[in-house]
Amino acid sequence: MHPRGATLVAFCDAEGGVDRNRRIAKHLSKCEKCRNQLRRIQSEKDKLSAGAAIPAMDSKRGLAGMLSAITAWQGSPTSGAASELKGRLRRQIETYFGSPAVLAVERPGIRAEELLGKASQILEVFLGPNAAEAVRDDVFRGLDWAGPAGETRR
Amino acid sequence: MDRSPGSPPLTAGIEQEIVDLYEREAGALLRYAGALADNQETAYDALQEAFFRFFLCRSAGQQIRSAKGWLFRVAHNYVLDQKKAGSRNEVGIESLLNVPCPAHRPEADSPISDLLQGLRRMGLSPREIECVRLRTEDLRYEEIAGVLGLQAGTVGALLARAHGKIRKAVGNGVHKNRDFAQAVAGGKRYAS
Amino acid sequence: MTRKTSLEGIESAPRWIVMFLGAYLVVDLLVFYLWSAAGQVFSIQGTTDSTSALSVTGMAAVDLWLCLVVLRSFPAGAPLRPAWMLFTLAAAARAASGVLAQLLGTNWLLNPLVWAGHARSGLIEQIRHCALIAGGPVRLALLAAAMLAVLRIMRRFGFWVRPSATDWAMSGIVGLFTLCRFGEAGAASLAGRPIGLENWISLAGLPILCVLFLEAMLLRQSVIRMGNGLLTRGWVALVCGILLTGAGEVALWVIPHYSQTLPLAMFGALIQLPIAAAFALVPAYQVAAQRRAIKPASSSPEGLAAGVPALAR
Repeated sequence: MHPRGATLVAFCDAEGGVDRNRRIAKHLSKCEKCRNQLRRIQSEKDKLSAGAAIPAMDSKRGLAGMLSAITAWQGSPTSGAASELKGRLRRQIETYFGSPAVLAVERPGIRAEELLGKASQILEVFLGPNAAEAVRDDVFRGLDWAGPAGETRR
Repeated sequence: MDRSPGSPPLTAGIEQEIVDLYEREAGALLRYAGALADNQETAYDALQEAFFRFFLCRSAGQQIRSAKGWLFRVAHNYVLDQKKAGSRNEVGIESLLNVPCPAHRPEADSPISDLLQGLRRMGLSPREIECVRLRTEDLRYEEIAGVLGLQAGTVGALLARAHGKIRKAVGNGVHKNRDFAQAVAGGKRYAS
Repeated sequence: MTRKTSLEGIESAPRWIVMFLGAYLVVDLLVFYLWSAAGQVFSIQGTTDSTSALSVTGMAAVDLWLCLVVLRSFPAGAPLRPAWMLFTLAAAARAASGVLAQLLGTNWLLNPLVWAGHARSGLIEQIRHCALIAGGPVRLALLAAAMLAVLRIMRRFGFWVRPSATDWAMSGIVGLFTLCRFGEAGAASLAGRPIGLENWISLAGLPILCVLFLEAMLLRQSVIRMGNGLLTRGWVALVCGILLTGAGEVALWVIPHYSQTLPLAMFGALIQLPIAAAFALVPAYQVAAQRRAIKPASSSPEGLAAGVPALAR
């Protein structure tokens, strides 16, 4: 029996699993039709990969900008973005656990990253890792990293 | 995702991790985000956003199993959010630093190849195009599934369907790129 | 951020469960009122305490399904996975008990064992006893183990509170009831009266119920310390389920001592569904909270799904 198209595509991408790929390789050694199909899939894949050009970008400048942003963030733990992040995390904990739970997670003067870590941990444990990841995305969504720190730097 | 509670934040190590990751993945991530957003500035914002969130999550003690897949997922979601918002009114990290976008805008507005641009004309669905795009960036099926919110098995099925449609379109002469048509039809080489 | 408030999707499971329970209770109470108003001239057909009603079995099936959905969202190694595994097994035990008792454990027309001529062989009786064990001591033991796992996690995150005098008093009532039941059984045994297997099975579950009740009290304290969030509602439902189980057991034992006229079977049926609904609400609230977390990212333009985790797939 010939393998399905999806199976051959997965084989081509080395995704099928060792045993399955061994079975397919055995079949391919005997089946000219499937070998041709696999050749087509491979050539399509090669062509698509070769066609995707890397956009011109100044990688060093981009990285330098990123590292400066990180330094700026670390240097101003009470920036607007950090406060906003903490506020959002508090609201998420309140939503899923309740207001008293915030007191158990937060302590006075806690850094935004630390609160993020604690909130992530409790959400991961009680809500599950995938839902916690979605909550983190929700917390970060549209957060203005610039804030007052950005204004002072301009 | 694992976490070691109580461990101190290893910011220096994280910065080095980000540098390595940026040098390795930034180009591909920018290309992917650019193709998805049709806008290089949004793509650059997505790139910076993904790396900044990566820094925050790592600083918070989060262990990220597949950094590449994670970055692509964040960039993907960021671009979709921006598209949903309709206009680019979010302030990116470059405004924090007041630096211009390092991507060369004029020529980079269509970073994706003619072949990938043509996928839509070939009748591929948005999900199939996304799967093809992400695979061209060497993401594993599991990572693609994470980015697109699918099952790993569905990724394989979508890619197979995409190949079927490409073959059909090439057979019908929909795609104008003759090299591609010849390559696909003729099977110039077989990479094992 | 706007949130979905309709009754579509699995995230609205808690509302469906509560609505169904409300409708069921209204109908039941209406029948009870008519029965009382008519001077109890007609007999009320209630299920016996040994067989679960169809609605209770259905609710147990919903509970099991929701538990499986939740279990899938906790990968291997996740701290709460063992607890959800035990909750799922407890739900499975209840559903299996219901199916066995309803389908194979009664002498009714649709029982295939009756067609096969096993009606008098004792097999049906054995199946019924198995159903009682699965739905009784086994399920309670699984729940107690699950609760222990949950309490340990709560303690890890600082939500642990020592039991108050009220908690001890509430647990003491169930403990006292257990002692009374054992004393009654012992007295009957000494007087030479036979104690049925069903009674033994019921007695075997009582010490576990005592432990479960104390755990419920501890969980109640932890939940108070947490607050009234989406996730804590599920734990509140669990506490309610256990309290109702204990209260039902006590009531079903106490009522015959004071009144011979009240329809016990009806009361039994009336209390069983709220208990099953409370347990079904535990995974239902968990799923609702998880869906709420994932929902905002999943609507996107161009038919593309956002990178959202497995639960939404």
